Amino acid sequence: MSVFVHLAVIAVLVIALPLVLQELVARRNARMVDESALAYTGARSREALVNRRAHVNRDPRFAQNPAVTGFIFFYDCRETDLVVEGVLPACRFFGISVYDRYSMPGEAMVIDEDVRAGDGRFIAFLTTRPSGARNEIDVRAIPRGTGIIRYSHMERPETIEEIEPSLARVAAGDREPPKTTP
Amino acid sequence: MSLAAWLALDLAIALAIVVLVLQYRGQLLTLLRFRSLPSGAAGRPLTRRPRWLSTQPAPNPDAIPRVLAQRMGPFPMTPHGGDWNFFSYVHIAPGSPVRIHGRRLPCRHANITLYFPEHLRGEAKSLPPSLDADQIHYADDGSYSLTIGHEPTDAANALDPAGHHHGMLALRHYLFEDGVDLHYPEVRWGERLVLPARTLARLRSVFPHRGPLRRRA
Repeated sequence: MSVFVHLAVIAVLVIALPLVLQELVARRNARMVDESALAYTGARSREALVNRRAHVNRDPRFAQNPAVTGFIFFYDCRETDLVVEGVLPACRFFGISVYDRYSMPGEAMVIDEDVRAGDGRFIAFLTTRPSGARNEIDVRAIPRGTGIIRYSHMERPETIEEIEPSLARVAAGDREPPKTTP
Repeated sequence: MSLAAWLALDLAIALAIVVLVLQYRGQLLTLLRFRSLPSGAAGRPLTRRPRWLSTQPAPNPDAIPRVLAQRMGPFPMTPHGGDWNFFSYVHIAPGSPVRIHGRRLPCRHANITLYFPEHLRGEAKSLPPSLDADQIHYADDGSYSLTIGHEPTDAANALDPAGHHHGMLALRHYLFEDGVDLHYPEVRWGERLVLPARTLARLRSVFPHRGPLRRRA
């Protein structure tokens, strides 16, 4: 074989190998996240949790900040928006982030000041058609993925399971211009 | 040489190139060796030239290749104001404590954590030692010093390595204002300066968002 053929083969492999590795690690991570979810919720499949339920994130394999506790949920916003509602407890930091299948973050994210709805509660929407409201997470780049709700330094972290947020699909018909609340 | 032998050779060369790139951009070999260290392992440093690395994607300039970030632990936060994280390997030799010197962190909340290999393997039974920004004692000029060593210390700020000689120091910064300058501390192993201080000027933050609050129809 000529040198050029070898160089071409090597170039293809140099491009392909990281992609294969990335895919293998992504699958391993997804399996780990799914196993966690099924173990914590008792659900039979991941699909049973999509857009339905958030579960406590206590898996030590995620090597997160030890002061952070919170919930994980799976979403699919290709057809509908998803509304996430729950208690906003006293904590130093609150945020909702979304991740692609490679466990990498989307740029869109909301924090406590964006989603505070009064009465100690929060409301956030995952949507592929954002209207400009401050409590919307634009998931056009990641319409299907994993969401993480974080509470850092909760005053009473032992109560985390009592404040499981609710998830609900919001039908396209419900997608109206946001009400202007200061 | 047969075709299979040639292909095997090409594959070996390609693998070597990929490993070299991952080593150059993410200290692959240090991370792999760190993860596989047995609990309480002593010995020489895993690298003489540690670097700041980050699992966050760009614009974090320390971003390691995505495949390494995934392997280090999934789910970093967005670097656009939500969080800014970076970490570095540290060698904590007896009689040669790790000394960190930095400046007050311009964000709502910050944290320094020292992970051991078992934490990255998910085998740890206890939380890693950590300090929050509001637990740190600052000097009058807003700077702080932190000591990580095996010997008793009267330092104002200290983390106990619990007998470990190898650690992964992680710094996280939550919710900084748009345009802040973020200071990376300097790190010394004993007297040797292994990581000089540096500043990233005018970080971008997208928080808090503007706009009305959307409610359920």
